[in-house]
Amino acid sequence: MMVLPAPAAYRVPKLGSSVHEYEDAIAWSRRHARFAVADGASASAFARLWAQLLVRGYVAGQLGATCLETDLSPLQQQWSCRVEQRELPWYALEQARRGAFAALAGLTVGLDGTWTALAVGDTCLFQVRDAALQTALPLSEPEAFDSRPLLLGSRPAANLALRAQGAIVCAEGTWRPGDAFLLMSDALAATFLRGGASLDLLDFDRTAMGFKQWVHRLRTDRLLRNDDVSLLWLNMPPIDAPA
Amino acid sequence: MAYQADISRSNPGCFLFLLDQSGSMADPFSGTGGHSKADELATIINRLLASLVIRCSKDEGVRDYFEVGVIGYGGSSVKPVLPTPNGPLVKISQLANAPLRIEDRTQKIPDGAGGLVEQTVKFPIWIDPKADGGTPMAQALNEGTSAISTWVDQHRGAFPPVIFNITDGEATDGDPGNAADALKNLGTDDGAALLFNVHLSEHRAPAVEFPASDETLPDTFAKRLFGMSSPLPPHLQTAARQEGYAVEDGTRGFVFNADAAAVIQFLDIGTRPANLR
Repeated sequence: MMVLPAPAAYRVPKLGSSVHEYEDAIAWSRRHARFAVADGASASAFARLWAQLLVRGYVAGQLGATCLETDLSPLQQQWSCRVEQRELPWYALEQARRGAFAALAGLTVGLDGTWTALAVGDTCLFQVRDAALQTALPLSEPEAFDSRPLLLGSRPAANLALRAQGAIVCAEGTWRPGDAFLLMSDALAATFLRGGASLDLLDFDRTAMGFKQWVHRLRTDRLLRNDDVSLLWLNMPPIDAPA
Repeated sequence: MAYQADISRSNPGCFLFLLDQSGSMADPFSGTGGHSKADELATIINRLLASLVIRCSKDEGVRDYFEVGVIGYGGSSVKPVLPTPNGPLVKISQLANAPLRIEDRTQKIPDGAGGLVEQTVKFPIWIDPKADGGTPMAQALNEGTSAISTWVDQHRGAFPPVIFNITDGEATDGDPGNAADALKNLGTDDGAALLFNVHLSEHRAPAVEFPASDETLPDTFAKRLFGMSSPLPPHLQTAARQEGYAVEDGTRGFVFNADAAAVIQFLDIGTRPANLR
């Protein structure tokens, strides 16, 4: 039986921030064939925790597009419990009242050659085949990225209008051996699309250090906005490949 | 391109607030049940400062994205209002932890489904209402110029300072236009300092936010303050549009009989969700 290979995951915090202040999150489960990246909004507090809960929830199969608002409820309760158990100063209480926000992109791969995906906000999923972009969601144009996306909130009231506003995006498709799936937080996704969505753009040596140096170079050349950067890269194996 | 500098802890921005605390601020504010312009000013400045602190607050505390100063002017006095041991500007984290008191206030908040719900929110108070004597606005702008001059010398790579002057517009120490020009002539390598004026009036005229001309403004004080206000740079115009304001080329940083807390959101220090209210 085919088992999916482990994806490669890369993370670099915003320049000027420490690794402890990195507010994206990456998770995957090869057993469930689920992969997710979330990007906590920097204007909200406790967004790192919210992003982590979202990716863990997605790869555990707890989040679906059909009833997403309801599916989020246990995660929102966990977020509240974790945040409210501390004694907070007035500004943190206000941030907690407003809730945390995060973008989420999740991919579920079927071993029969199908996939489904869910995305909210500006964290993106790309499918690349033979050097050509097959799928881009939820955004496919670099101009579509701005600093005011609709995101998943850790307070239920923040999400009530998301579906009506078209912010919950789902898709499905098929994959072939050799396809690459890329999940990226927004700064890198915008750069990737601006550069023509070619895998050649991802010009680093596939090590964590190589990724960090490559991101630094892009930032220095002003080709990449200064933000947390996350990339999950999954190369699809031949259907009958061994684990 | 100007007004593009990253605002970060290693490259902070600067907000300076000039507060009219003259005797005329004891007059009633337009359209309210007897509360004064001084009351309204105190509410506006406390909300502005709170918005700024909240904008910078994260899990671990408040990040020093900004330095902040408040200078009050009224009677013969032009002086810093906040306890500031090393000049009129303090780090935003110091401000966050030093309000005079914190009140519980009830606020109507969008419920996300088109309605409003009442919630109790924490409302920190740094400034109490005050109204006394004449309006030395030109002197206050000169004090601001002095403080900002030092700051821009020390922060050449920073986003240019933003100065708010909150007043009823009736300067008693001459035409403040020259002093405003001197302030706006300061800047960093990223552009000139931005002077925003918030005009509180007893006129029962509709609120005006970020106009591109002075045609709809009801009096000479408003028109003069409009003339002193900086045009919004293009990318702040974009940010203002995203906040829901109908801005156009020529739009100035001027607000008449309205709140100005939204301006805090114009300066980009990271992703701000569209569904965060």
